Formats: sequence, structure tokens, C-alpha cells
Amino acid sequence: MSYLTDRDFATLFLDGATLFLIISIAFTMKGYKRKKRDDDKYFFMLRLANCLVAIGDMMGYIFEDKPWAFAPFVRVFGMTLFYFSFVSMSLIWVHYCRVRFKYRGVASESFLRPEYIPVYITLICIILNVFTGWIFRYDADSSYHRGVLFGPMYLVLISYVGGGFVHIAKYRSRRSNKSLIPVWVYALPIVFGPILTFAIPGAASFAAIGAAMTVTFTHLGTLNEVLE
Amino acid sequence: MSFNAHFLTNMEVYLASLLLMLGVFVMSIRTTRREDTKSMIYITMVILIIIQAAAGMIQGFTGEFHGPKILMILMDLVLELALDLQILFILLYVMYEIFENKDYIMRRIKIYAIPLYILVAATFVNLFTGWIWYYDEDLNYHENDIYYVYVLLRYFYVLVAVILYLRYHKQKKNTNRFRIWFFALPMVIGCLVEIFSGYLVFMLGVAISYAVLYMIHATDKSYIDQETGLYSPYFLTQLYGFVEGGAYRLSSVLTFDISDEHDARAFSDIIRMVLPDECDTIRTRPGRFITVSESSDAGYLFMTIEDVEMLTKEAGIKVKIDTAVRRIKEPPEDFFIDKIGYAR
Repeated sequence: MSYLTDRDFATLFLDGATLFLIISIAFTMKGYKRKKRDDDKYFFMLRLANCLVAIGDMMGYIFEDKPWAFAPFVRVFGMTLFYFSFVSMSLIWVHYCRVRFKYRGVASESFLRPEYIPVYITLICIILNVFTGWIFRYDADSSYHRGVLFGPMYLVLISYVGGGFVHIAKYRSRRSNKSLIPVWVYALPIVFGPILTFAIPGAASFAAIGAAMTVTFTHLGTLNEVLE
Repeated sequence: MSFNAHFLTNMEVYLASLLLMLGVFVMSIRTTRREDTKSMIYITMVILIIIQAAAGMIQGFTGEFHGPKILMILMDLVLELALDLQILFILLYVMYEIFENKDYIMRRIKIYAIPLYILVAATFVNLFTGWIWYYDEDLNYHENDIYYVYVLLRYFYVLVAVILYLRYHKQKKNTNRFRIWFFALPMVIGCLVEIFSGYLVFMLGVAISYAVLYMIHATDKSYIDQETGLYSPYFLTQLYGFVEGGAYRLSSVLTFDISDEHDARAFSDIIRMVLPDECDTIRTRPGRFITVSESSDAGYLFMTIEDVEMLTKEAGIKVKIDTAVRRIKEPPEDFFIDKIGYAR
């Protein structure tokens, strides 16, 4: 226990809360039989990706400064899993929003779209990072450093996350009763998270819990549409 | 700019609680009717967490940056009072979940809440005496031994409320128990982690519990027709699942079509009066009600129709009644689809 720092505890609490929220959604949905929707499978993929973000985050942060022999492997694997899952989540999110909040007839459900190419390139770069260090690397003192492609990777991630919110906003503006919750409720946690993490040195990552809140609010919004 | 790591951890936990509850508040306020007391209690619980989280963050930053002592004490007062109110409302919510009689609930709460009134009084007295906790000139927080009695009493209330809630739902028919445990677990885990680690995680546990509670109740409410209190069309999918799975042996269907949709509420009161508890009635359209039963007894059907006809005639409601009884060899799911007009 003495190896765990305050930041490790913060990571455990926030990522533990993430996993709990996502699993809770699964269990409450399990007790609720309803007709299948087109977006169900994408919502499942979103939740799965969110869980992997939290797991990768825990592995990467907690093993970052530990002296154990297997720690370097675990932290590299963890951070790779974290970035891979987070970027994948941004793709799944925009795809889910296209299908769920479609406003021009039936949305194509294929993931093979030209506008998704930047994400696929980013995902390949994240995998290759193990050999190249383009996104992140650890030096001989086990200190974390960002690579040359770290900024572009986050730009891609934020663009696709934002793209999803644009879909929601356009869908909402076309509905006369405006039954959807305001877009800022969905967006606030996932936007706030990275800002907090980057702005405050030593802060535990808010990325996973921010994404989990957005996923939770999306689920509650779906339930609310039935109630309204 | 760098911060004390312990402080940062607590602030992140507060922020997570605040953002989560803010979103849940916006969600729940849109679907809450003012006359629904239990829902209003829930909204109050959510607001109290938001207040606590905000006060906790202001207090934390004041301490970290050596702000005015009066602000620390004020925020501490807000936190402690909000926490006591929080506990009272959790208990009130659980009582409204279990009991129906408002007068009975209020009589019980007045007695159960006596220790909480003492806690609130003690919080105010502490401002002048420092008997429970106090801040020194460097804004360091100090607790006296009696503080632990104070805190344990609060946690005891929460644990009792959670146990009552779980016990009640264990006895209820058709409750998915896993869902109820998912409500209780974060609160209990947060409580225990805070006691043993000193990190202020209880609030995050409570915030997650409230979010899960909203998920559970929004899910359940979606099955209920808000106007009449009978089942809504969304329940048909759930019911079909029971029929297909063999958990419900559908044997008869009574269909009631009322000519004036404005009579729906009055008609639903008649249905409740006439039908036994084991019959399920779904309002599939504004003027159409379908009652399903596992019984195909001709006597029961005849008496039901007669009673409904008599009572609706007295109430001046025009209703057309159809009956259908499943043949022995007919599969229940086919009968369901055919007679209810359900599309898979």
C-alpha cells in the first residue's frame, strides 16, 4: 500500500467509478426488455471502449513510477490501450450519434467511410508507437514524455468527439418539441476532463470518468425520451 | 502551479460528483411532476449533492490558498448542514418507496429524525465552542473525539436506509435484485473507503448511487402510463419476453375500447376496482385497454365483464368489450401476437 500515491488513489477512485457507472448501465438495461434499436450495438461498443479506457488508464498511471520488474511492460501496454480505446471511442461516438440522432433519413451504418480515415491512421500510429515513440515514450528514468504526434492525435480525438455533438445539436434543432437535453449536458464532462488533466500538473486523468458521464447522460436521455 | 496531492485527489472527487449530479439534475427535472412527492424528494437529494460538492471545492481551495478563515467556516457549515439534510432526505425517500400513507410517513420521520435534529443543533453550537471540530489560525482542520460519534451516526442512518430499501425490494414481486444492489453498493463502498482511507469519496459513491437510482426508476416509469397508472405500451415488450420465456402462461385477453379518451382516468379506476391483482392491464392506445390473465375461467371472465359494464354505465362511460381465450394447443406467444396486435 505504501507504493500507492495520492494520484494513484485518485486514479483508482475515478476509474473505479467509471467502470461502476458503465456496468450499472448494462445491468439496468438488462432488466428492461424493449425492442431493439439500430444504435444498440454502437452503444454497447461505446460502453466497452469506455471500460477499456478506464482499465488502460489505471494500468498506465498506477504503474508509471513503480520499481517492479513487470511495471515497464504494464505501463506501456496500459497507456497504449488507453489511447487506442479513447481514439476508438471518439470514432464510435460520432458513428453512434449519426445513427441515433439521424436527421436525414436512414444513416449508413458502415464504418468504412472516407471521413473516418484520419481516425484509422491515428489508431495505426498508436499501435506503432510501441516501436516509434510517436505518441508517448518512457525514458530510462521511467518518466513519461509526449511524442511528436501527441498533439495531432488529440486534435483528431477532439474533432470526432465534437462531431458527435454537432449531430446532436442539429438533430435537436430540427425537433419542434426540443425533447433532447441541452447539448452542453452531454458535452461538459468529456470536454472538461482533458482540460483539467492537462492544465493541472499531478491531476489524475479525468478522461475516463468524463466519457462515462457522457455515456450515462446519453442513456438517461434515451430513457427520458420515452418518459416525455 | 502545483497542488498538494491529497487536496487534488479530493477536488477531483468533488468535481466528478458535481458534474455527474448536474447532468442528472437537468435530466430528472424535465420528467418530474411537482405533485410526485417522491420524485421531488429525489431532486432535492441531487441538489444537496451539488451544493455539498461546490461547498467542498470552495472550502478546499480556500484552505490550499490560505483564504479567509470565515469562508472556510461558512463552507464547512454549509457542507455539514447539507450532509445532515441529505441523510434526512435519503431516509424520507426510502420511506416513500416502502409506504404509501403520507401521514404515517411524516409521523415516523419526526421520530427517526430526532438524532439528526441534535446533529444540526450540535453543528451550530460547534461554531461557538469548537467541541466537535475547529480550524486553527493556519486553517488546519482539527477534530475532537466526539466527532467520530457524530460521523458514525450519519453513516449508520445511511446504512439503515440502504438495508430497508434492499429488504423491501427483496420482498417485492418481479424486482430485478441486481439492479437494486447496484444502487446500494457505491454508497456503501464510498462510505467504507472514506472511513478507512480519509479520502472524501463518500460523496462520489452517493452521486453514483443517485445516478443509478434514476436509471432504475426511469426504466420502471417508462412501463407506466403516466395518466392512468396502468402499464404503458412499452410494457408489451417486457410482457412478451415473459410469455416467450414461459414465465407467464397467457390464457385470456380482455380488450376494452372507450369512446371518449377523456374518460381514461375514470375508466382505469374502475378497472382497478374490478380486477384482481394478478391481472395486468396495459393502455396500448389513448382509448384502448388490454387486460391479460393466466386464467381462462369462464366464470371469472363473465363476472369481470358484467362488473365493468355495470360500473361504466353508472359512470356514463361508453365502452366496447371483446374477449379472447387461448385454445389449449395454441402457443401463448402466437396468441399474444394475434390478439394484442403486437409486432416483434
